[in-house]
Amino acid sequence: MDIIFENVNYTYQPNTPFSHQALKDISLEIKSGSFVAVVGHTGSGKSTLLQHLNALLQPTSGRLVLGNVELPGAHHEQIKSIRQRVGLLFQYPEHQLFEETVKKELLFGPKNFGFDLKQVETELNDSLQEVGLEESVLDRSPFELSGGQMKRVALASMLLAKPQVLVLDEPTAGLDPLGQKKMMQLFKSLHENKQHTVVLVTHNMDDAMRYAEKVIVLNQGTVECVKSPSELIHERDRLKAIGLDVPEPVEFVEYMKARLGVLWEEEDINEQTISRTLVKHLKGGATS
Amino acid sequence: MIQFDQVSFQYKPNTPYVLNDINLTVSEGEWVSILGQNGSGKSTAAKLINGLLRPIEGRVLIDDTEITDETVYQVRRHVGMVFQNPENQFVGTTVLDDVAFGLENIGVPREEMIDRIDESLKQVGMLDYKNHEPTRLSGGQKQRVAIASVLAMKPKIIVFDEATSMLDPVGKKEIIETMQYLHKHYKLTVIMITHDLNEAAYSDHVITLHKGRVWLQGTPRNLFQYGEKLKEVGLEPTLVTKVYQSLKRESFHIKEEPIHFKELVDELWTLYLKT
Amino acid sequence: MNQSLIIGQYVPGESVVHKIDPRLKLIIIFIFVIAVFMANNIWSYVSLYFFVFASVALSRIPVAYIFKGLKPVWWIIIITFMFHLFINSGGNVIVSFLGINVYEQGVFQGASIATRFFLLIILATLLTLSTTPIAVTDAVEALLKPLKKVRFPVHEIALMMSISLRFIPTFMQEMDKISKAQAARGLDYTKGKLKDRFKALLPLLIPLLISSFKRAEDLALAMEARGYQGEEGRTKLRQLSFSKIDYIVIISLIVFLVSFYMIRV
Repeated sequence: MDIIFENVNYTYQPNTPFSHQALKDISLEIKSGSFVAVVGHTGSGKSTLLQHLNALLQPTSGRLVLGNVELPGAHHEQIKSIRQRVGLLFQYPEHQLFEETVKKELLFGPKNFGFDLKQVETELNDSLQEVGLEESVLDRSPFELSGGQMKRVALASMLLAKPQVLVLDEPTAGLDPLGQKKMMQLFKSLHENKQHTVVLVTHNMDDAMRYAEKVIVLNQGTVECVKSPSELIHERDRLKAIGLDVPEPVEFVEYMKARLGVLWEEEDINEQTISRTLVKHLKGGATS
Repeated sequence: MIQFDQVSFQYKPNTPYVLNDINLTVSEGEWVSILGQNGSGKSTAAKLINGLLRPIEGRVLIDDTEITDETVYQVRRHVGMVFQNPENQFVGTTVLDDVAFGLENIGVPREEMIDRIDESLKQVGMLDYKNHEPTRLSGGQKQRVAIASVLAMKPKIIVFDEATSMLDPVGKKEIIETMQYLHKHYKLTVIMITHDLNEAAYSDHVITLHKGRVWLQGTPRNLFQYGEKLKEVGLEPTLVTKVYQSLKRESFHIKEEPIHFKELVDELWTLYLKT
Repeated sequence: MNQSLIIGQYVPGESVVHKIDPRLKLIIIFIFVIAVFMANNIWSYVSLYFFVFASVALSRIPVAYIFKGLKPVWWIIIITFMFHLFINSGGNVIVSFLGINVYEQGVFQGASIATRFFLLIILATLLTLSTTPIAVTDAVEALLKPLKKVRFPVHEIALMMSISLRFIPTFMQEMDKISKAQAARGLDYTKGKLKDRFKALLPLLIPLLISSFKRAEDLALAMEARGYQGEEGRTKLRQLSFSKIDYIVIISLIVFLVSFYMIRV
């Protein structure tokens, strides 16, 4: 399903002294099957935007098209169908785990969306495998698990509801570096093997640029720019100006250019391209 | 000075040991990072330093005083601690009350308290927020208040238990800069619990824990030398290490393991391009 | 968040009412409660109205704002009034319709009980609007101090009050996040039978409960790390002391009480 924002505004507590406009005239499109990242510093509106994708919030004005449903104005059943088709993985799995066993936890979403539970039960093992958990966790209490495992349970429970779009809110927060990398690779393979649309909402610029096809940069409730990672490399000053982290590899390349006079010709910036360029430059420099 | 003398710890009898026969020494004024993946025992080690936990076997000494029931309150005056979750360590209803809390506990007279609160809030750049409630502060600001609360008690040692892990990049930077300033300005001993190698690069020493044992004790350079082997203990080699390793394979040699890309690039310039 | 519930929401200000020592405010409320029940004629009620609205005027908090806070209790006041109106059958019949007689005393009693209720709530609202929660806590602790002699845990209760106040906004935010997380998983607690709706609360309450325990644990550790070991040897930053305003208020209060006593029958 395609997702289209057309001049969407959102205001918290309108008509009160506490009124605050979090989204200002947002227009953008997320194509079915794409992997996009939404980045912005705290208060940029990314969390408000994320909640719109699942109809947890609805535009104060403007139009949001989620597949065949249009917000505002959708009725109850349509909203429920959006929530089934758009899976939302929140930052803290602790905010949703409540059942006695992992198994019940996994069935919670499918049950709410009216799935045939007998059928879902046959899929449990595959789904655990998919997210990298052992079958033996099924009968354990979700509260005995580690933070990384809890997150995987939350993810599996979301996947069992068969969503088309995965919206991930800071999915690597609280994990150690290895756990972070594994988690991101998991999303990448879900995207590649199952053609899920993935919307990664994060302030981690490294992840955004490494995994996303398009990066949507938000600043103070507006869309600052929508760029591919290889275009974003050249926006270093702009990112800095709006309080975003410039990814370390980009800083690395900038410093190489300034200090060594390196000519950057690669499309992507990562450890391979950096090493390759350095080697090329040093060999050239050493011989001349 | 902090000393762990054959320290072992388990949370409950008949459960695996979280820390196993740990020996280590941290000298006064040092900045030491304790690294390790989740579950390596690093947070447990932090809580042993100010007696929030007590070893099952072995001793923990602060300035040659063993932490016991009798000495623990005295020790806590010297060892401040900043925890991971900004929300859950904010005791007071306002910034002012939060900083006051620790001082009230140790019986600081009111007049002196007011001076100390202002001074420590100034040091972390939060003086203008004195009467703010925690809900109106960002995560980074709350952590700075937590640092001020600790600082007001005039400690010799501050332990940061993953104090940046729940913050956004802006907040992380704020805290690291505050830490560096205090380390320099007050000659404080800093213990930083983290799993971020880039953060650990700032320290004088690093102690890497794995499965409750000391896996490596040395300088950040020593640690970075391990390269891909760091993955065995759940750590991710930094970008500069990866680039350095592949340059080495192409037989470009640099005498020292770089811990920052600027170091690597500068070194390359000196070695290969300087004319 | 519920915007109509303003009890507990402090409105910053510099008025006389804001500046009165919170202990004195609590004592005034206590005396007022007694006075309200001692009023027995129309003039004594009028003087109570005067007292309350003079306080409101002095606080410079808009009357409309205070009345907004009364919204949830209006109907209780009205029902109380009606109840007495129809039940009490003393004195002469004033009006009679549909076979129901309304008596003189019914009106008076209904009006006086509704008045008591109304005035007490206004005054209590005024207290919370003009006093920070932490000041109320300090005042409670100070006023209960004599009870320490009988081993009443005054300090602990005050600490509990202030920590609860501190964490109320945190809980509100957390509740919001949890209910959104569950709504995203298809949970619907606005429809269905009462039993189902009640069951739908569990996915909200359990994560809230578990995270509260986690918070409590973290907070206890943080307090311990900062040297908390009970009340002994503790000093206090916040100290309450009477100022000129308080003495003027005390004198005015005495004048009011004496006149109030003389107005009564």
